[in-house]
Amino acid sequence: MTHAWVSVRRLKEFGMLGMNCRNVDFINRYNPRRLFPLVDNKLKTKLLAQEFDVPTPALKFVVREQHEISHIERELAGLESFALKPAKGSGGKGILVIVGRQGEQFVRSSGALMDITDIRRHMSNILAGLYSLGGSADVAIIEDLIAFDDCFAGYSHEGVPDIRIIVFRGYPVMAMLRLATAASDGKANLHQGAVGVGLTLDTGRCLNAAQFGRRIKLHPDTGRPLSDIHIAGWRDILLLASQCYEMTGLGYIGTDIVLDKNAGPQLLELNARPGLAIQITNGRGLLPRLRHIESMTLNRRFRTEQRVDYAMRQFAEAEPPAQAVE
Amino acid sequence: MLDVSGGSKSRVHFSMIRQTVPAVQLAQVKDSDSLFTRLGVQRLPIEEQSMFKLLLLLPLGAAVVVFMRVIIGLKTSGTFMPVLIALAFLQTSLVAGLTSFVLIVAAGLALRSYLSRLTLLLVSRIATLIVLVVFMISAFSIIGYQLGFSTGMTITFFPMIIIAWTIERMSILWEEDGPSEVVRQGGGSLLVAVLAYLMMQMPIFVHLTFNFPELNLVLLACILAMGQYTGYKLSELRRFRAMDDL
Repeated sequence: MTHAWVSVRRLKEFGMLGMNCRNVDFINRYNPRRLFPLVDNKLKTKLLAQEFDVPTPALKFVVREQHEISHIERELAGLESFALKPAKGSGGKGILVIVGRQGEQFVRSSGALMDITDIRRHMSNILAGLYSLGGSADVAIIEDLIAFDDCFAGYSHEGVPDIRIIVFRGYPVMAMLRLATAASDGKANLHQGAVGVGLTLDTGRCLNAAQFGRRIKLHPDTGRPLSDIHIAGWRDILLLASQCYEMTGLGYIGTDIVLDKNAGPQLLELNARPGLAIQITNGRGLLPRLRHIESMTLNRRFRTEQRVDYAMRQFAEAEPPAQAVE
Repeated sequence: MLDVSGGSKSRVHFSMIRQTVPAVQLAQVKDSDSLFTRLGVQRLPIEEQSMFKLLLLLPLGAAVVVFMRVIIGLKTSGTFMPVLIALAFLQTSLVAGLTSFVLIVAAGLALRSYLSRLTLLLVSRIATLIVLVVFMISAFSIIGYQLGFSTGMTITFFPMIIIAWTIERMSILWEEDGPSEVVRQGGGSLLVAVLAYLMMQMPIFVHLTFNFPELNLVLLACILAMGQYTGYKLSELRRFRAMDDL
């Protein structure tokens, strides 16, 4: 039975990180303002990732000026499927996923059809800054579509499931899998109704799951038990996330990773103000882990592999105690 | 003493404002001409004094916003928009201001949904909204005047550019997160605006902030203190409620 409120004492027991504490103690302290553009602009993140050999969906082309839109069909001619994104968009806003063609029409991931005029209008809106923070002028990115891994079949409604890992000073500290639902309209966004599945940091198995801030056991659309989720190649995913620390220099980031069927884990985007809901999906608070990393003084000497192995050991979930049999 | 000779169409204006003056100052004003009395707000021309009365109330409104966002965790659309609305309420009275604000934003949202079909660039869309808002406010004022509501005229004090931005943001919110989010954030903004208004219209605060402007430094201290608060927001006690059933 879920109560309407939870006491401050209980939140402290769990070490839940609140919004004010996150902003003052972590974002303000570990994320220098001048580095924010690296993650707030997806184009910059992508170019940086290519420089650091971090795998990311390949960039096809960039639309920077309104006049380029009038003859955009020439650029799109060779592309069967693609993702169109605003470089400065936040929270998955303004992302258009085209999975194929039907004659002159483009097929969206939802199955809806669009013609070239709709795509032009969408691009024009992106350039005008409709989806960017504060409405500043933006550019549109066209990139390769992720061929998503079959291991999530039956776990996601339309959208691509992604893995969010919080990386603090280069150490992965908490992870969750975000699954799109009918309620979230195919978006992997928790406040829009996507399912968040907390993952154990040592093995990548399901720990807890939540939707709309409440615990759930089954995927609401497909009915598959979420507790069966186990992500293969977990250490490689953590390595990819941990690398983003060296790449950006930001101390407290959320990394969004997707699994491609052919190319393996890919960095989708980074977030310098990662949300707090990951704690609800895990059923664990972030604070004890963050304070632990904070108390380590020699962490700068560690390499990526060492940091990941340390985090996997340090934040491993204890086996649930075996039930005593009478 | 009024002395006119051979004048035509001459006009005489009288400006008056009720003003409260600290007793000590009153005593000093009569005989001293020191630097301190010259620097007082009370020495300004009357029109500027009434403006200062409002200006010196702003810190109170800002403190209310900080409290509601940092301690309570209420979502508002646009950080300090509620203070500007509250300021407008001070001039229109609460009920008249509230109804006209809701009417203007609702009408603006309806017009904005037509604008979104024209695929305009963002800047010209906002500019169009500003023009429309000016027309709407004029229309409301004229209709209000003809119907005999004297408050109709004071609607013009609303910050029009802020309203245009509010309409734009609300309509994007509507398209992306649905009407429920619009009601939630709009309601949050109005709630904060009403609270700020209730504080700002209390005679005691009007008196204190105008006659003792240095008291605003106390508010500043409160704002700075809240800026360091790292505890939970009231809303987070609800947001994290699922932690209770582990």
